[in-house]
Amino acid sequence: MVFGLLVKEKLVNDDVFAILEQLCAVEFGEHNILIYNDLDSFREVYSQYVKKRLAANDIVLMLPHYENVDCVKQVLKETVMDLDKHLAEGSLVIMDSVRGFFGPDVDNFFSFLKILQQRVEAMNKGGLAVIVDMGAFYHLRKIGEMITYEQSIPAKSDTRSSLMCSYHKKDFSRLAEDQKQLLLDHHYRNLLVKDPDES
Amino acid sequence: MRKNGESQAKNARIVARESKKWRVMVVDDEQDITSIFKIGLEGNGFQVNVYNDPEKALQKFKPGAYDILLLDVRMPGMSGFELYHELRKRDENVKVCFLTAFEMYCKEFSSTFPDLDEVKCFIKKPILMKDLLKRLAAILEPS
Repeated sequence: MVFGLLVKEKLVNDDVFAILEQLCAVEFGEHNILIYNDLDSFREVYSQYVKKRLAANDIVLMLPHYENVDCVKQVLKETVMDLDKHLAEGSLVIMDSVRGFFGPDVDNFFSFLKILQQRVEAMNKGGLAVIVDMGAFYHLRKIGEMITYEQSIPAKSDTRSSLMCSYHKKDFSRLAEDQKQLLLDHHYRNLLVKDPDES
Repeated sequence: MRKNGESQAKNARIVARESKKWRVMVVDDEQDITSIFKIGLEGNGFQVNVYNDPEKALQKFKPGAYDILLLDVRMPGMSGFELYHELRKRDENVKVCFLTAFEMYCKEFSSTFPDLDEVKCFIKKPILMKDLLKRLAAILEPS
């Protein structure tokens, strides 16, 4: 059971297509949560979302955890036109999540975001879309840090960035009920990719 | 050098087939990886059990049942490091190798797992079966 007795008003628990519809409506300033069942459904969601954001002239930052960067590129090649061009010009940045959050070459994740936001201005882009897999925090046993980090970002803000925090269902399930609730409360859209076997 | 490696791999196969069937447990959340490992290792005389769910692997684990464990590092629900710690509590002698498709960062070990120094073996995925056999031979049959 992922949610137990949690308050579910804000929750969209639906198939990949319905989740993609939700993602089409995402606006800048939104801090959203996506909980996925398995890598296949996550790939389907992120590949369509990245395609959409790049087509909208945004910069996209992606921090995967359960797939390496090359694997993500292979997945995106199926849906994103001119993937190599986007990677070369820096409109698509893919970085391993452990490296992105805790690596030696990233001083601070938020300062890295700030650099990318400046890049949005410099490249005359629409905005910044960030997709992160939060698995890195579990991997390094930094759940407390993760909760603090999530709480520090408002569910909706006046910025030209959107943030999608992605959790594998098995990772999310490990949280205490109050932590789950707190996370849901601190995100604008709560999106749960429905298990195909679920009735 | 290459010949030496190949003879080590051959040695592992011979040892597994003739004197002992080495018993391996492979835990990786990706089914295609475990399938390849199972087919390849069984084809070379190993006795292989695979799990795609680390919690299930932990439930089914019996001390002394395996000579070596091959654990994926990044798995949802329970990382390979966490699984290692749990399995180590149950079996102090079993040899362990971590499988990873990722570049590893110092912080992944030093701050969170200070006692992980004892584990020296990391196997980078993807890996050719002949190379995996060489690695296993070196661990199971150290000269």
